Amino acid sequence: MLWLKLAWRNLWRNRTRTLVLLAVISGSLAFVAWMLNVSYGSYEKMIEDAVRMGSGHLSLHHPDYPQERLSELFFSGNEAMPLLENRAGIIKTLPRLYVSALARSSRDNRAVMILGVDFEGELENNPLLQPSKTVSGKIPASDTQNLAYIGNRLAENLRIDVGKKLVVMFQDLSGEITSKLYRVGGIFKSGVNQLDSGTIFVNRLSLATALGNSDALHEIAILLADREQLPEQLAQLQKACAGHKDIAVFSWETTSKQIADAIKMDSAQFKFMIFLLYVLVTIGTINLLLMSILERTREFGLLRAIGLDRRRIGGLIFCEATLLGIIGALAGLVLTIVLSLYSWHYGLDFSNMFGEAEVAGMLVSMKVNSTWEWDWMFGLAAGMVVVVILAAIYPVKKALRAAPAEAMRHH
Amino acid sequence: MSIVSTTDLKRVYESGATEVKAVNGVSLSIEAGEFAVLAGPSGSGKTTLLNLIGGLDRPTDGSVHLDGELLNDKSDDELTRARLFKIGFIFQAYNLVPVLSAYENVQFILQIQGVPDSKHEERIMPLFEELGLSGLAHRRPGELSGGQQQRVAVARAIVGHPSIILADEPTANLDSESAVALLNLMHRLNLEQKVTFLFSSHDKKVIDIAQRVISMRDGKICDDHKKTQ
Ligand SMILES: Nc1ncnc2c1ncn2[C@@H]1O[C@H](COP(=O)(O)OP(=O)(O)O)[C@@H](O)[C@H]1O
Ligand SMILES: [Mg+2]
Repeated sequence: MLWLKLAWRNLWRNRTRTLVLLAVISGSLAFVAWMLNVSYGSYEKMIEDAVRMGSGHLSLHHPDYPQERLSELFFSGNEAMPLLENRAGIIKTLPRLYVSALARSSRDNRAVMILGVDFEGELENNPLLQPSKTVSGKIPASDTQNLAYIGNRLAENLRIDVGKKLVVMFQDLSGEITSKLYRVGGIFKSGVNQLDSGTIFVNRLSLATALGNSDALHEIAILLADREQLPEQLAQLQKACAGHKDIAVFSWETTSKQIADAIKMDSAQFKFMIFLLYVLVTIGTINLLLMSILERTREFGLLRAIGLDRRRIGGLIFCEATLLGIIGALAGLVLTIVLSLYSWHYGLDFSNMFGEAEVAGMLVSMKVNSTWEWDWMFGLAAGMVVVVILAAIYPVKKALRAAPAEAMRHH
Repeated sequence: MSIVSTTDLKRVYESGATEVKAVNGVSLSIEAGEFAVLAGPSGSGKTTLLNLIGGLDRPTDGSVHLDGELLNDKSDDELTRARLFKIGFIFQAYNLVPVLSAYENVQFILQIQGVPDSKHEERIMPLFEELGLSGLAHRRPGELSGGQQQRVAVARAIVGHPSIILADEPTANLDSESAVALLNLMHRLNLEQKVTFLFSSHDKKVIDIAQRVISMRDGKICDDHKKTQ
C-alpha cells in the first residue's frame, strides 16, 4: 500500500505537469476514439447510401453481369423472385433493368443509361429517388408506363422540360435497334455529375417490354435489416441459387467495389494517423517523465542508499507511469463517450462544410451519426496505457544510471 | 569483533588529467557500541570514507569489511541488501522523501525489509517517543524544522536494527543548539540501546560529545584517540 501511496503522491508533486500530461493522454485518446466512432458512422452511412442507390447489400445478377454490364446478360424475374420469398432478414427487394441508350429530344441527343425501376419501392429506399432531389415535376407513380424521371443537366443538354417528349433508342434483347417514346415526368438534381447528365429512370415493365422480354431483369437489389448478417445471408442465397445457372448472388463489396476501396483507404489512413498520434504521445510522455525523474536524481540516490534496489526503483517509476496511463485512459474514455453520445444522438452535419459529397460516383449524405466501436475504444485505451508504460523505459534507465554516491552529491 | 574494518583503503577520483586522492590509505576499525566521529576540515575525505564503508562507493584499492564480510566482492544488489539490513544512513540534508509523512518515511524501511505490517507501529512509536517526535508522526518533512527532520532521519536509520549508523555531517545544516541536542539524542541511543555510531563533523561542539575522535587530513587519518570517561 505504501508503494501505491508513494507512486500516487509522486504523481502529484508537480500538479501542472501531471495535468498537462493527463490532458495530452486523454485528449489524444478521446480525439482518435471519437473520430473513429464518427468515421465508422460515416462509413456506415456511406455503405448504406451506396447500398440503397446501388445494388443493395446483396444482389442477384446474371453471373457475368457485374463484370461485363451487357444488356443481354439478363435473368428471369419469375425464376429469381421465389428464391427471395419468405426469408427473414431481407427487408426489401428491388428489381431493376439497366440499358444504355441514345436519348433524343427535338433539339439534341445524348448517350444515357436508362434504369427500369419500380418507383414505389425505390421511393422508400433509394436516396436518389426522393422528392427533395426533384427540381421540377415529380417522381412518376408506379403505374405510369411512359413517364421518365431525368437528370437536370441532361434536361438542359436536350433542352427539354417537364411534359416534353423524349425518344430513347437502344438494342433489344434480340439485337435489333428499337426505340421508345417517353414524356418527362420529373427532373432531379443529385449533385453527382454522372447521374445528373446521363441518367433516366423509367417504369421497369415498359422498358422490359421494349427490350422484348417483360420478365427480364439485370439486377435484384436486396436490402437487409442488419448488415452484420451479410455473410450468413450470402451463404444461404448462394446455396439457393446453386441450381440456377443464370442467377448468381453478389455482395455490395463486389458491386460497389469503389466504395469498399474508398473505405479501406480511408480507414488505412486513419490507422496511420492513430499510429502517428500515439508516437507523439509517447514522445511527450517520455519528455515529461524524464523531467520529473531528473528532478528527483538526488532522491533516487537516497532511496538507493537506504536500501532500495534497482528493481524496486524501476518498479516505483513504472507504477507511477501505470497510474498515469490508467487515469489518462479512463478520462479519455469518459470524454470519448460524452463526445460520441452527442454525435450519436444528434449527428454531425458536415454538409455546411462539404455539401453532399460524391464518393466513387455515388451520392453520400454528409449528416453522420457516429456509431459505438467499443472494441476499438477499449483497444485504443489499453494501447494508451501500454504506450505510457513503455514511455517510462528510457526514463527508468536514466534514473538507475547514476551510482548512489554520485546521485547524492546532486542538488 | 569489529563491526567495520578497513585496510589501506584508497579512493582516487580522476577528473581529466588531475587525480584527487580523496581517501589515501585508511586503516581503521570500529568496534560494536562505539560512538566515533570523523573530524576534519572540508575536503579531507570524510564523506568519501563514509561512502566506502557504507557500500555506496567502491574503493580504488584496499578493502572494507562489514560485520566480517568483505564488501569489495559484493555485487551492486548485494551491497544494496547490506545497506538495507546492516547500515543506517543519515545525511546532511534532504534525508526524507518529501511526499511521505514522518511516520511513513520510517515505516518505509520496515516495509522493504519485509517486516509484517502488524509490527510496524510497535517498532516505530516507542522510537518516536524517545526522539520526541510523537506529535509529529503525520507531518510531512516540509512541515518539520531542520532539527525535527534530522531526528526523523535518526529514527529511520535506527528502526531496521542495523549494525552501525553512518551519519555524514548530520548537524551541518542545524543551528548549534539543535546540533548539540541531536548529538545528545544520538549519544543516548548509543548508551541505552548499544547502537554503534560513526559520524563526521567539523564542528568542535559536536566533536566534543564523541567518545572516540578520528581526525582526518588530506585523505589520511592523522590522529585517533579515545576519551576516557
Ligand atoms: N565525485 C568526485 N569527483 C572528483 N573529486 C571528488 C569527488 N568527490 C569528492 N571529491 C574530492 O575528494 C576530496 C574529498 O572530498 P570529500 O570526501 O567530500 O571530503 P569531506 O567530506 O571531508 O568534505 C575533495 O577534494 C573533493 O573535492
Ligand atoms: Mg563531506
